[in-house]
Amino acid sequence: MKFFTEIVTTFFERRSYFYDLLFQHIILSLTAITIIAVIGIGTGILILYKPKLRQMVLGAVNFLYTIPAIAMFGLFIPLAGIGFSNALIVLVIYGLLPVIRNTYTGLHNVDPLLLDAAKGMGATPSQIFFRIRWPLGFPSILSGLRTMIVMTIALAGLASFIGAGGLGQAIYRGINTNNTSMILLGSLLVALLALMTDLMIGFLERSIKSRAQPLSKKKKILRYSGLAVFLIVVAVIFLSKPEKLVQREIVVASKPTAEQYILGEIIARHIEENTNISVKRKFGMAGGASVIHPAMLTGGIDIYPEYTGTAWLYILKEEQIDDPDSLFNALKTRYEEQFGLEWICRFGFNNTYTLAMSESDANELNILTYTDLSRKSDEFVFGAEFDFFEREDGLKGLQEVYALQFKDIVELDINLKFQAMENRTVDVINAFSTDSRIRHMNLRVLKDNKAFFPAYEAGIVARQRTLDTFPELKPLLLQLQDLIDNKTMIELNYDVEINNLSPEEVAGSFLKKKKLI
Amino acid sequence: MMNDNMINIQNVSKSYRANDLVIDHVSLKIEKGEFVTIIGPSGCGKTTLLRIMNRMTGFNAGKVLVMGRDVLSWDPIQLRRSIGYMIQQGSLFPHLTIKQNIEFVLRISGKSEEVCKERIRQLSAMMGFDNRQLHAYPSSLSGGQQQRAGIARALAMEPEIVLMDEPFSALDNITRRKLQKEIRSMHQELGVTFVMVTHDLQEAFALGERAAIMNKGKIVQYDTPGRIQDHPENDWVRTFISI
Repeated sequence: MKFFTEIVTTFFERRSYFYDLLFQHIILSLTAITIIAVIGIGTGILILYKPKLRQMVLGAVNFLYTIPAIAMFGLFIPLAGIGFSNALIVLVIYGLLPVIRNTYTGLHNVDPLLLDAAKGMGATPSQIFFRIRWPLGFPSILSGLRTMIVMTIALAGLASFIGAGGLGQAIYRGINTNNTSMILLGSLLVALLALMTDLMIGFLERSIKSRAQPLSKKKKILRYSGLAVFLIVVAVIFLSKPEKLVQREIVVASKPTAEQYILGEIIARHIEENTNISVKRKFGMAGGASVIHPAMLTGGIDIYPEYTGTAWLYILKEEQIDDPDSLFNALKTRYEEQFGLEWICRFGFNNTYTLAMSESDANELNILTYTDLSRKSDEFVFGAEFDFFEREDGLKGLQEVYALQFKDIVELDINLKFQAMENRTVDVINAFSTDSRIRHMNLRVLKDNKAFFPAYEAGIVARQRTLDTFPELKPLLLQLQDLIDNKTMIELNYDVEINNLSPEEVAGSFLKKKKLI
Repeated sequence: MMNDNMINIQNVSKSYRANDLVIDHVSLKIEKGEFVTIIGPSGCGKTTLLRIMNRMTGFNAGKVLVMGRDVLSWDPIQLRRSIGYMIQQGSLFPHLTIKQNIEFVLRISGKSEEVCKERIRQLSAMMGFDNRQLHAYPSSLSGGQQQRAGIARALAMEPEIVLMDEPFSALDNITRRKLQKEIRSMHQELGVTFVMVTHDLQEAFALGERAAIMNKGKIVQYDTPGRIQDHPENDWVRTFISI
């Protein structure tokens, strides 16, 4: 019961946020559904009459269907960038299979005797198609459409992965900020949307079927007014979109961590409150820097918070620079020359990697430093997110410097790491030095005694061109310089991750406290 | 006189592959108002011969005249619209009511609303359909009723010729006899030329004023049932009709 009220409160507190996501979700799925229906049915009819194309088309669509959705979203980033069009392409590709197949099967499986009878009575090919084939194949086509629509609405939940928004964002945000009611609300709304749409089609299906039998007047009015309401809702949704687009708008993005949500929100809110520029948020992009950086280059994103270490080692793939200030200056120059991007300022804290283990384990075995750990490392299971195993400044480099030999290594989602620690699935994890959960779970942060991990100072990266278009932006963002030290960042993270406040609230009250808004 | 013949098939051959004639130099004259049945073992070409008459199937050699006119000089769609056509079990469209099934034929030929209404009225009076049956879907009617609807549909355009391919093959014996009787009196009343393909000897001889007996793509004998029974053309016919 308490849980239920929590969900209801969450919804009402953030109503406008959920409405926004719902709206994005509907726009995206509705556009995809319309395109799929047109292309799918068209292709289904085409291959009915062109047997040579049939094998090829069905084979290709079948093949595409087997590619995992996540991979498909990723594959289209170089082609379509991130956001709406990418998501649309992927949704369309997935939705085509059931529609093409059911259209073809439905039209093909019409009893040949009936077609012969119609032809023998002097029906023209188009009369045969529209009066016999189409109505007899329609139930199969409709069931294909129904499958596709429910599938598309559900799949659109993944679109937030590449920044196309939608209800998936709420789910993702819930996972990232350890907020269960958020996850549930997002999922519930997706399910509800799919269910409602399915019911609506079922309703339309029945009224089509009963068209032949005379309906009572009352029923007729009910049917048509139902249909009218549906069409009006669709029209309102479609028509209300364009006015949003004409405004002056910039896009602020963030990676999928609570800290990045907070920093992104601080940037976005600061701009919104102090200029007339409207801000579009693409927060929690699951691909992280590898998705955001390309989008910065193509203009899909204008501003985002980045860490100096990530930019230098991961994006530029340069050799480590130990001094944080020299690193920042080198970055500033390289970004400007190579990318046309500007590092505006640093927030004032260093969120570097560190290794953490439970205080009791560490105490018992007297482990204080990484070198201490390396002596006992074969007794421990190490857990980290996928990134950490790939990058140069991750486990590979660490093992070279410290000769760590863990008993086992587990790849975890970045957000499930601490849970795995709590369940004792892993004994040692990598963690960020500003992570609120280190304190919350009473973990010991080990000392990087050979200074392996570079500085990861958070800063603001912006597109040069955006700064030129909006000259008021740069001085405004410079006000955020050195405003957040490590201690403050841990507190802000703690408010979101442990106290379950929303990033908006936390960012808002922070800006108010600093008298910036 | 060519014009006395409703259908005049002259030396027609048809093959799908070389040296394999499905129809082998067949000639057949059917007079106006006549009821002709075509019978023979399966694969003898009887259905193909019927389909050649309304160009549902083409042919390779010979000439086919329908109502005195070479079928190749007709637009096939127009030709088919002027000939009634009924195949197995009536082949009613399951998504249309009986009324709509009959209207289908009239509508595709561009008949007006009034004409449709009038024809439906006449045909349902003739077939004995009540209002409920007219608005029912085929699946909710008995086999016999479905066949009646099929006949009504074939007659909708008031054709001078009706072609039927095994129309009663799926019916039980009692219903079948009943429908045979009905169609015979309908034939006498309307004066329409009927050509019916059947594999049932009893039916062929009961309905046909003349019967064409086919074997291996040829017409072996074409005569009245009485004369065929009394003077079979050869041993094969004798064996065939004595089953």
